[in-house]
Amino acid sequence: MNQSELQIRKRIFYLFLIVVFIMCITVFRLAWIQIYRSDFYQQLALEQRLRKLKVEPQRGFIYDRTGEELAISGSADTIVALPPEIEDPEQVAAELDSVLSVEYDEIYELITRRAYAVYLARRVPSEKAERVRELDLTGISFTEESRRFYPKGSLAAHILGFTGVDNQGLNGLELTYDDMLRGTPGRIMVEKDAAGHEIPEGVERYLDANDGNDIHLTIDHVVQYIAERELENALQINEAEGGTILVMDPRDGSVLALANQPSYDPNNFAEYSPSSWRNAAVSDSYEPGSTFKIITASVGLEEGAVNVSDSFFCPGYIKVEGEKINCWRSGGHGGQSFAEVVANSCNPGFVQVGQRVGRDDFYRYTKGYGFGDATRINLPGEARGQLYAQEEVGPVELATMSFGHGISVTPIQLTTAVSAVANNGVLLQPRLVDKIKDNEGEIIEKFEPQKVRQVVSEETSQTMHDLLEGVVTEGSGEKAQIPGYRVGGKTGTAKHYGVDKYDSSFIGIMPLDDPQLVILAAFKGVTSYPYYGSQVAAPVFNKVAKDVVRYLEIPPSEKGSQLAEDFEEVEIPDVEGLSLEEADFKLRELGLNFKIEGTGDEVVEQLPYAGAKVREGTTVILFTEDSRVSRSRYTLLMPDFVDMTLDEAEELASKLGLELESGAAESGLIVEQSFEPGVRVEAGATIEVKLQ
Amino acid sequence: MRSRSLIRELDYSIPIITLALVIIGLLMVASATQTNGFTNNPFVIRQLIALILGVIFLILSLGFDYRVLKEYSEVIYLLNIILLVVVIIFGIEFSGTRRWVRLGPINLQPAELVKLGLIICLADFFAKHKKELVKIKQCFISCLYIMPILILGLAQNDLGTNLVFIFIFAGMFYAAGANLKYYFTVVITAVLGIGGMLFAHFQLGMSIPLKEYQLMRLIVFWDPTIDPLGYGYNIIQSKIAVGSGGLLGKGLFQGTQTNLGFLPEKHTDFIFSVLGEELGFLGAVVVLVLFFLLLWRIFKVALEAEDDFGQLLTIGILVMLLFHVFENVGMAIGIMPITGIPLPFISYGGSSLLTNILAIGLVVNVNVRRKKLKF
Repeated sequence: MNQSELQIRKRIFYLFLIVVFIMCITVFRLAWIQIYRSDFYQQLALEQRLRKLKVEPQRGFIYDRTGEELAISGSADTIVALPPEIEDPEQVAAELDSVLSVEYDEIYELITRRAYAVYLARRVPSEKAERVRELDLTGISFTEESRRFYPKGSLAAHILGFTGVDNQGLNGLELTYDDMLRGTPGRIMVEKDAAGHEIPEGVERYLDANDGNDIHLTIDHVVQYIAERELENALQINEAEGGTILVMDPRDGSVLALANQPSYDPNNFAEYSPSSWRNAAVSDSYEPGSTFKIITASVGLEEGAVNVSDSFFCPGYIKVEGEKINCWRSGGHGGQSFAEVVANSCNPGFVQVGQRVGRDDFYRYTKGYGFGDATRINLPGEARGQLYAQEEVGPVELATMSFGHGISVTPIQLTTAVSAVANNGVLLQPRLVDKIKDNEGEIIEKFEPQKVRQVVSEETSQTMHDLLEGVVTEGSGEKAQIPGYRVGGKTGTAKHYGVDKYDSSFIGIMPLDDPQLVILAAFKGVTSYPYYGSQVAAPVFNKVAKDVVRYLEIPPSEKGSQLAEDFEEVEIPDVEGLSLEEADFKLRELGLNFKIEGTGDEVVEQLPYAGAKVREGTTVILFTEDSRVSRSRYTLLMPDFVDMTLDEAEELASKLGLELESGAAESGLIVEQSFEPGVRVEAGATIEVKLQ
Repeated sequence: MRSRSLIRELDYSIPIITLALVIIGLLMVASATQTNGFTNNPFVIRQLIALILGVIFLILSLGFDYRVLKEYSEVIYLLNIILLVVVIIFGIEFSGTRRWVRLGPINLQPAELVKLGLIICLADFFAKHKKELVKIKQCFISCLYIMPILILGLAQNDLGTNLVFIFIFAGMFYAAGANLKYYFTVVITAVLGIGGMLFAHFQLGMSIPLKEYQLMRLIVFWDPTIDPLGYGYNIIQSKIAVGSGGLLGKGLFQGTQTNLGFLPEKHTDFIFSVLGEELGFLGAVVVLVLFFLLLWRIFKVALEAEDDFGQLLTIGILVMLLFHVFENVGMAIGIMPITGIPLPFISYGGSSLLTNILAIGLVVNVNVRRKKLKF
């Protein structure tokens, strides 16, 4: 063997060493990935497989105007089987059969399918999922799917509507804004080359689902709650087929509350009769009766056909084309001014106004107010109400329409029209949705107030305010009076044809100095006595309005019917152990403010303690479970009460969450206090003061 | 009489190991393409046809002494050039590279055959000029000899195949007795040159003759998470598949990553990931050991070859197989950047299987005609 041959052999041997080296690296690396890091990669693999199933987007949330969640998408567990991983399908099917409400045969069929993953049960309640989890079956896995929850139960059910199994909107805003809420599902994309051709066997990409947009409503959940509570109460007192309460801000057409009875819980809508799903406020029309006289009066004033001081005479009836139309008051109202005609709700008076205006102008205005047309509130199934065709209207029809008979309107139409009267004659489109935000919180659509048209002049609007105030102070709307506020409104009662059933309603505007609320309370098919709007609906208006003005902190007017009530003293309720939401309601209801310490959802401690008597408006501190400060460490600086009157001191103390103890003395100035000013005391502490 | 004595000389382990790898390959291809069904799976059928063709060619080739190839080395060199030109002109483009030529119902990858053709030419060239390889002039001429092939390979835009050409050349050049001073000067210059160009590109924005996807493959080799759904996707998915296989694997035909379509190009470039997932660490090591044994036997053949041509031929085949195995397995487990290179005997691809079987045929040919040991 020569030199060069030896050298070659050496080189070949070196090459062989390279082979050995490469093999060693490769095996070592394999061991690293497949043994040492195997758990990690198995986890990644599982996540990926499950993600492939999860292409469904999360449906957008619905919030009220304060940011309160009305409809949310929570996640619910969906049970998935991975047939290739199931070793003993019979046993698995048997074990699952005992937990899931699916037949054994069906489960067996599913888990033996030639597929990589199948749905066993979608969106199961958490306790069921937990039980399946405990079984710890190989090849049975879980993925989360979005499920619609309405955290406030039936609150605002008719506004929100509900969704079906596949999260598709079926009713209410869920239906009309389905496109917005739905989001776009994730997709599987195939890699393309530079020219845009699909590459065979190319990389597939999984695009995550794009969640739906969030809708922010003009509804205020507290106002809505007040409306629903009063509606329910009213239906307990009166016998009726149903009722509707609408609260609108006439300044911008915002609907603050829309409540109907019968109602349902959208979380389990299927358990309620479909008739309860019906949104009567927009879908049902009824005879407005005397509430429509607001429209007639404003038209008469606008057209100059009548003046406030014009004299009318009511003999108890009026003859039109030989037909005798009775006033609701047999015997009539005798001589009266137009203001009195309105206050008395005198039918013959309004018939005359209608006659003076004439059919064509009367129709022009009626349509101008939006009657006979949809308000475009954007809820499904909106009715347009019914108007006689204009050319068919003879003197008798015109006469009855003048006092609200022979015409049918929807509650939303009437509320919107009366809001125009309240809002200087400007008709606005009702707003239910304020804005839509995308899933990153960017506003993508903002719904500004939309003027439809100027129906009557500002002057007419002002005159109407005075006339309607008369109804409440002197006329049929007395029960609607609210101390401290100027309220205007009109009652309405219409008898169903042929049966002893009545539609009773009240629609009111307040405060008249600067109208901020138009509230309609309407009851359908009232069978109990009294059935008059003044008896059934006006008190409901009163209760709703009273709570709403307090909640919205609408200041009382100096010209109000009475002086403002004194601040009420309230007893602090026990909210410990409640959720923040519940505590919120409880405290707001009593007119108490609150401050939250911590970020949890449950109140564990409160300050002041339950039972403490404080003034309305006092701030209650709520500590949640994760609060960094607890009640015992919530200290505050003692103020200097010296030289204050007891009232001043108590106001300050209640603001700070302190209690004052003054003994018997009630007058004079404070001369001594039990804690030095500037020291730290525990919140809720009682300070003894001496007066002189 | 002569053929019987030839058969007696045969190192049986070479065809047996090859057969074992081919069978594993068929199973893996069947598993990776199981969405096409288990019976009449067109991928398996095409692979079987290539196998049968390969075996027929192999047996026929054994009748000829491999040394006749020396006579035709110029013709083969020319054929190589023609094949590459044909691909450039008539080739079908997939993923930015031109590799396939459509011939009736079948798509051919002529570059696979060129690999073998190049080995034959180089073996002849180096064997003839062995003595002069210590001189710089001959080293320079050797580089010129391979240049046309590399330039045509570059025109195909097929980085992987070109790398195979380069490594075959480098391996054979080294084994043929290249002057190490010049040899390593060229190697170091090349490494520094490429490194410098990449540095200049990333730091100074200089343009370099690489496509964006080729650059991205290098970038994601360092960190696949830079583009997890794009260029990093293959690496991540492959590692997940292999890693989730664990020690024993998920079982043949049971790979979830493979079958759910997460793993790309699973029956060709990423067949090893399927193997790792379904047969686990154990299965992967068995395959690597088979490759190791095969390479070891080929080394033996090289050492015992009767002439320089046979020895260099064997070394060229060895380097070709080694590079394929390391690059293919390496990219599947994230220790090599991604290039489209098949795993010999196992990846789906008729041209590749045929070429590799013919290569084994040449090795066997050298083996049975080895010189008698004189120890």
